[in-house]
Amino acid sequence: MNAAPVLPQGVSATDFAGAIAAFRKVVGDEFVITASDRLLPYRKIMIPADENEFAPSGVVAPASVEEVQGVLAVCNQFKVPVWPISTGRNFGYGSASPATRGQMILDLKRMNRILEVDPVLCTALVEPGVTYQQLHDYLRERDIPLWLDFPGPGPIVSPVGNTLERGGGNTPYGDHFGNACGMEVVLANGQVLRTGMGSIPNSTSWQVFKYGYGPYLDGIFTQSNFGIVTKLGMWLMPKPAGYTTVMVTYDDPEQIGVAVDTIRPLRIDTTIQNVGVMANEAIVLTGMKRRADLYQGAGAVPQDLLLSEVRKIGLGAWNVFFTLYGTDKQIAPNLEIVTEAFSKSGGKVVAGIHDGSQVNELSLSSFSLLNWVGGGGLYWFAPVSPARGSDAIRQMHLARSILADHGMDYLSAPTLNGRDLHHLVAMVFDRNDPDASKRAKACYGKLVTAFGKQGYGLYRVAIDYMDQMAQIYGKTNRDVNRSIKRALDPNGILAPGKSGIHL
Amino acid sequence: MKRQRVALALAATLPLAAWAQSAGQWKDSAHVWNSLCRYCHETPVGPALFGRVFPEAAVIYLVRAGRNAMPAFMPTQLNDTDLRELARWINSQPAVAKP
Repeated sequence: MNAAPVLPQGVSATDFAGAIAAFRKVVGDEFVITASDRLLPYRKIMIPADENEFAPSGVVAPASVEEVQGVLAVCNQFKVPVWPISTGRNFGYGSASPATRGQMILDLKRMNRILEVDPVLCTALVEPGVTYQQLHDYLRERDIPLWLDFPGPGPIVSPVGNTLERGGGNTPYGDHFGNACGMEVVLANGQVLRTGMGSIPNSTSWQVFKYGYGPYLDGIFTQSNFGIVTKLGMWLMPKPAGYTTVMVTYDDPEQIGVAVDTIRPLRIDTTIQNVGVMANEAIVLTGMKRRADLYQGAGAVPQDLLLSEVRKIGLGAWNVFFTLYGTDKQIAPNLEIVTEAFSKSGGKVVAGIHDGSQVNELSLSSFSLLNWVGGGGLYWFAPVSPARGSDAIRQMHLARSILADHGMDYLSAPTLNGRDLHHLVAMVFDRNDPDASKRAKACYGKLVTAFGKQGYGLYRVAIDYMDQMAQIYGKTNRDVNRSIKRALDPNGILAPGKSGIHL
Repeated sequence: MKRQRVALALAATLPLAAWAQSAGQWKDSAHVWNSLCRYCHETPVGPALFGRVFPEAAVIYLVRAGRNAMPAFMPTQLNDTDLRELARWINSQPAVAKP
């Protein structure tokens, strides 16, 4: 079962063996993995690509900043690259796999301390191996009245990893990087940078003021390969006095336009405080049905069939979910405002429904969308759309049409960020079916290109399309990233290919 | 392993120490189940496992490799001892009706 190791590009077998021996001295034998059967969990991907294209050379798992520094010294000596993961749950974007074959995965799961929670200032400082479940338990065990904002696979995901990917959730703190404050970063040369106020020795303000003095650096360590984040500050939401979750349904798919034009001003003026979500008819059905129960024909499920099915359960073509937080006195007038606005727009408003993702409840219920077809295949296609009805309609038609051309369903759940939507589209397929995987792969490429031509880019992209997406963002963007890369990591040992950034 | 046991003993003495959720640091198999498994296997997302008996090796392989939508779990999150104990614990649980 244990084949010869996948060598990093340009590294001889002898040098690789030397690097492995040196890694073992730094972290201990148990925490360096090269045997192919032990690498299995690091190779599992959901995207429609051959795992071998992204096969790691091995895994090294440090337990401290000092061990990370020791690992990087070895990497620089032998020119062996590392691909850092927090918990490796980048589902639908590549999971734990590196963007190019032949990198050592730097597994930071063992660095799992919750270093500080300040219930007064509502902040936390955590290491990469901490999961949302662990932090949630910590708060609950101590009866600390702070809420977390979870991404879809919340319980098993790292807040650090998700924030560095600029992931999101559905509460008022749904922009995770927007609510991050202060990082500790180990640079390729082993130096340790604390960003913002953290640069001051014995800083009193690392987790309360983001910008510090001079350039604000945190952004360059997200979706990048410029450093290894070993600590992250987070702002947490005070538990509200109460909340009312509201659902608005629209019968006609074209009403995404009027829905977005109604949501936007209410989000921007903060009548609606949270990110919320709007789910189309197909994605809401994934929680209750399997595709084969509705349709066994070729191609995408006919939309009329989906609409007819969803109407039977009192839902619509678009179903908007958001929450009003606060005391009854705060919620009542806001509920009146939103009810009037959405009713006027043609939506049907139902207050008092339950959506755990908006009220601090951990869940993996979003995984039910994978049961729609079975087979575990998932790509997230995630273009950014201005929060204008006309853009939303344009993106909906473009996505639906390209997906249909490839026999795929349009499962859509845009998040409501205020001035933009993250137009999340779950591309699910049977990964055991080579034809379905091939269609999904081709479809994703077509979507990326077609959206790019119309001036739309993705906020986050799967590992197999990182170079293509970097092309869409333009030469100057690539040149600047490469200049930073060469300055901070001259040996190119950190995550080559991440976000299309190469030495 | 010795170092982990010492760390665990220290953690148990600190009133504010949270249970870590990495390999070798779990309180017990119920803690693993409630933190990782129940979200799918006690809901319609994944198959029910209680009331059935699985070969330990099969449980360990499935957790390591993942299957279809099931994520794979790394040895830094669950070590082989954690997994063997989890397999035995699952096999000892009586069947319960899913919602």
